[in-house]
Amino acid sequence: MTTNNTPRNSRKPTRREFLQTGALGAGAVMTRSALAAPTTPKTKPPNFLLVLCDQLGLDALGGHGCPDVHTPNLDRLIRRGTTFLESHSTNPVCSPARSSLMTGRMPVETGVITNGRPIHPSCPTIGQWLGESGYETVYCGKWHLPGGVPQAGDGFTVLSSRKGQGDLDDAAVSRTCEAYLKNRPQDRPYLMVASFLQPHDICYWGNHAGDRMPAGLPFPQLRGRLPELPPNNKSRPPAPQKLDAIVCNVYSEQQWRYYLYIYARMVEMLDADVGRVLDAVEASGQSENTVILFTSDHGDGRGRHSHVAKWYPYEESVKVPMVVACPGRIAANQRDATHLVSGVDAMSTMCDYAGIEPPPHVHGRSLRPLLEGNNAAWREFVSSEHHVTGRMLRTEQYKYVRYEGDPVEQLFDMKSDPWEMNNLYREARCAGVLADHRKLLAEFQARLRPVPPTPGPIETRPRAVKKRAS
Amino acid sequence: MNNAESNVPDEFPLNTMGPVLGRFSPPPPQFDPTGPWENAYGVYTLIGTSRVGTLRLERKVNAGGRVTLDVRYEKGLTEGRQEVVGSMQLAGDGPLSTPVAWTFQSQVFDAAGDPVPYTRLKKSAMAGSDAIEIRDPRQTRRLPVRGPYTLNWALFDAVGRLPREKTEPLNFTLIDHFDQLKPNQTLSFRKTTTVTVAGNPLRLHAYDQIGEGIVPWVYWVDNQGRLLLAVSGLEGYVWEQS
Repeated sequence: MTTNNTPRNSRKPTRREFLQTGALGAGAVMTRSALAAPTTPKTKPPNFLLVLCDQLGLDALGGHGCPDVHTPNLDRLIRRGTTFLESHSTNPVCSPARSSLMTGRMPVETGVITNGRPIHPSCPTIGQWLGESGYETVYCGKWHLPGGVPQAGDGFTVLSSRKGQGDLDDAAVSRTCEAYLKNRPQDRPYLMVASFLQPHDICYWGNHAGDRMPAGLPFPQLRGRLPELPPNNKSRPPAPQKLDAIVCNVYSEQQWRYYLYIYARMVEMLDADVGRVLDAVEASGQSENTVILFTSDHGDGRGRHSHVAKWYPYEESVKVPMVVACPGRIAANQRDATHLVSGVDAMSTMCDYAGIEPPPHVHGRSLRPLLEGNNAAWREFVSSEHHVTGRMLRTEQYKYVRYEGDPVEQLFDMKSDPWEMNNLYREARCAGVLADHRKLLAEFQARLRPVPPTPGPIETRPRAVKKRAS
Repeated sequence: MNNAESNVPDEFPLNTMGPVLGRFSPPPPQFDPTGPWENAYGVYTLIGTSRVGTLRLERKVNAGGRVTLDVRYEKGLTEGRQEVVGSMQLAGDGPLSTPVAWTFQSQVFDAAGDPVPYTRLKKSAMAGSDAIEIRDPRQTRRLPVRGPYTLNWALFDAVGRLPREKTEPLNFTLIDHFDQLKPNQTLSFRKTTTVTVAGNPLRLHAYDQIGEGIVPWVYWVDNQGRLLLAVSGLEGYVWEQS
């Protein structure tokens, strides 16, 4: 077993040590006093199972109304807890979004502004934070911050790494998590991260298999059984240049529908593996003392706005599931369509249930008041980052998008235009709303504590699927 | 595009296997799909043609005609590997190689080859009239199954004996990876075709599997009834000398 959750190891300093030695990155202003050890919980702390998946849009589940998939296990989880229907990725790309889930910070603050970068040493991970509070912290599956597995200092013991894509890898991840949950000694509370790849395979499938498809339906027996196209498949509202450059318009209607069929099957593969882990929690006898959080790093285009993949601030990309369940602690079968939540909230929620303070400067809010039916004053907006220079701000009614230096902005009325087909930014009647959202975004940006991007590949523009009509 | 890929048959989804097919070498001609046999497959992720594991299947026919199918699946990890070893007792008749009982165990090994603590599982399964019961020391699960069913690895055996002509599709429930329930599957004959793979002309009989929880599978079986190639999305299997 690769043991990485020893706070002080010989390979590199932990984030806490990094901070205590004063090796702060630019913009990071934490102090030693701000990093006092997490408060020891007074009551028996619960276990945490954080189930991550990759490229799963919020509305791609049967339990969220998708008619094209059968997801009995995830639907079971939804029924057992609370699902947040206004849940947003902080940056719909794998590594940046994951850095927020692990730290409660925005990607510009973790240094992970594109894929393949490590989390800045100034940001403790949930593994490190709970590990230092007595939790056993284990990680299984996709990491990508960077590379295949958490490294020393990331705060996790690695159960199993990955090799291959989701179709080959996820079953190994779920089997490993199942075994661990059934076999581990139950002397300490645990945090397990079960990190699945599906339905991310669609990202490669489009370029690999999709590009080699025949003009007709590759499996004629599927005729009449393919999902319908979304109503905004052809919609291309005015958009900033970086956002507008990514479009897939080489698929025929039938190929788009086949793409959606394949995506749905990948979601079902994920469902089977999540089910295996959920069953193992029940078999472990720890079900009523285990808080389960299920979320994704980002969604997938699924033919909306002629998009595949992610990156952009449209709903299909930025909206992700956030389901939290724990029998006896969290009310069952609750659907929260009101509160705006974000990937940064995972850290604060777990810390709250563990009875410890979250690390300093996190942007997340604990979801616990919402989960337990308490009327909490809640945030007015959530924000996300895109393509390094783009920012999205979502309020109850509107979505505002701005890319630095680009004259085209976006403003959508999400109540009257949920498919984001009418960009209102030039509408005179919306000038006040636009100004308000610009101001909110500017104020939020001013509150962030950005650090220089951590070392990573040179990647300032998204790759793949650049299929413009000639 | 390298030479191997330039020779990829123009046959979807065989064409998605790309350079992996360049590693194919034809098996010896003798093969009886109803008898005892051993087949080994390289397991590939078709992105970057990375070999990620090995699948070994051994079909045994006992004196009384009882058939078992043993499985050894080794999947590589970034650090170490996972092994899944199983054995199925097949019903002996029916087109789907349906197991009536099976056992399996899995274990993760680290890069040094040592078992990773707490990652070993061992289960047994028994089919009843309307459910399959799967047991391990901590849990007994009942998977509701009515009608035909089979396991994914058993299909690697079954396709070798299926008719090579259009017939009514076989409808069944899939038990994937020994314990995952995936209903509403169909298996049907696609076509017979002759393709050249790695310089070897092959006459292949193709079968499609579609259903819940799987990206469609296509199985290619040679004239002797031996499964040579299988692909599902980004996942590919290529017969190889054991």
